[in-house]
Amino acid sequence: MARPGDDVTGHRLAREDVARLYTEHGGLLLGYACALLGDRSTAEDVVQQVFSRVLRGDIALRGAPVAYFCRAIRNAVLNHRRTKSREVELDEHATGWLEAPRGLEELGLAIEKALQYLPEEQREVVVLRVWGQLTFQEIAETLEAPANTVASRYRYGLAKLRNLLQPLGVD
Amino acid sequence: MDSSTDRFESFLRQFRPRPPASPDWSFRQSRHVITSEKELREVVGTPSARAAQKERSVIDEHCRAFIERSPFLLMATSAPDGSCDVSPKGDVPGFVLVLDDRHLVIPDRPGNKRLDGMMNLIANPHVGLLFLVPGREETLRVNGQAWITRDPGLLQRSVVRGKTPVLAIGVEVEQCFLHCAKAFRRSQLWQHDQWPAADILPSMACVLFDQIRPEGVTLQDYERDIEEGYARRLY
Repeated sequence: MARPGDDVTGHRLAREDVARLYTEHGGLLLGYACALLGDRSTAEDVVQQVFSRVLRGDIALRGAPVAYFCRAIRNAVLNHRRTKSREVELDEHATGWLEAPRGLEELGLAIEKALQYLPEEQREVVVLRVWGQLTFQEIAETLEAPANTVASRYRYGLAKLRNLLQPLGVD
Repeated sequence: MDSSTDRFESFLRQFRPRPPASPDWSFRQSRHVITSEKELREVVGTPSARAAQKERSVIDEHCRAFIERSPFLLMATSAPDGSCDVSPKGDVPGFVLVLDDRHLVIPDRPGNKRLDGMMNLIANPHVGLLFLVPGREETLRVNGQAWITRDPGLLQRSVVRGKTPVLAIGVEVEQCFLHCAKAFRRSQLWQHDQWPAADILPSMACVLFDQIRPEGVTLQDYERDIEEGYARRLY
């Protein structure tokens, strides 16, 4: 008799593997979703949704797990927007997805806010490259865009972020 | 990338994505929780005319037949503060007496003496009963108010194996209706071939021993004691 959570499709990762991936990459994925959505509770829902689908075996894991999960998060965000049919609300409030070293908490929030001023296509590349440490090739696959394009979005995005943070003494 | 870019990247990487908090399953604070009948109806819809009309305020011949063939029921009670208990009651089919179309008697057999349900009844007479008949996928729901009685005339009518119960629960029926089979059908509860092996869960003795971790007592003592209780104190 099939029970909830049983492997019915044959693609399911073991529960403990999913838990490990969540521990290792949950922060980045939540940060990525926050950077895309500008809203923490929706971002949490999206991350939870992706992990529950993997747990249920609804989707098969292919390629490097972190790149795979980034792609899944991105798809879930796009779906969410489609169903809610609304544009990203530019939210000036930081969502608190970045953990700052002691004494730099204000800067952490400033980085999050500054990111929101980048065009989304640059913002997501910056998040995936800086904090996800994905290669341009992996990011290109995640976003389904050419690697050159990704590299140039990164250059522009990073430069803009740096300009935005300069008044705070960051160089 | 030039070295100042590298420096900026390193600066940014001092900030790390915060690991997500472990999920907060507190339902009462969840924004997904439904808090009004209006919201609920929007999700579920309204009952069919048949489902709305099936409720009876008395025990008719069909309900009586069901109770007379039922060897098992679940009794829900509620304390004055609203907290609830559900406890199983079982004996030979028809162990619950149907006195007339509004009155039932459930004899009380020895249990664990915690008296959770009885204590609730002393303070709050409302009960919900769910009668089962083995193999039958519908259940009978009976709601009403109940009192603990020691009326000897009633107790005498519930003698089993020569044992007269010490107490009984007298129920005044307010609502009575058949509950549809969907839950039983989905769960395949009466499908023997779907039943798990009897040892799929550890024995009650094992569980209690693990939970209580008694000193100076072995698991075998627990097993023997529990089995003796079943053998000697069933009635």
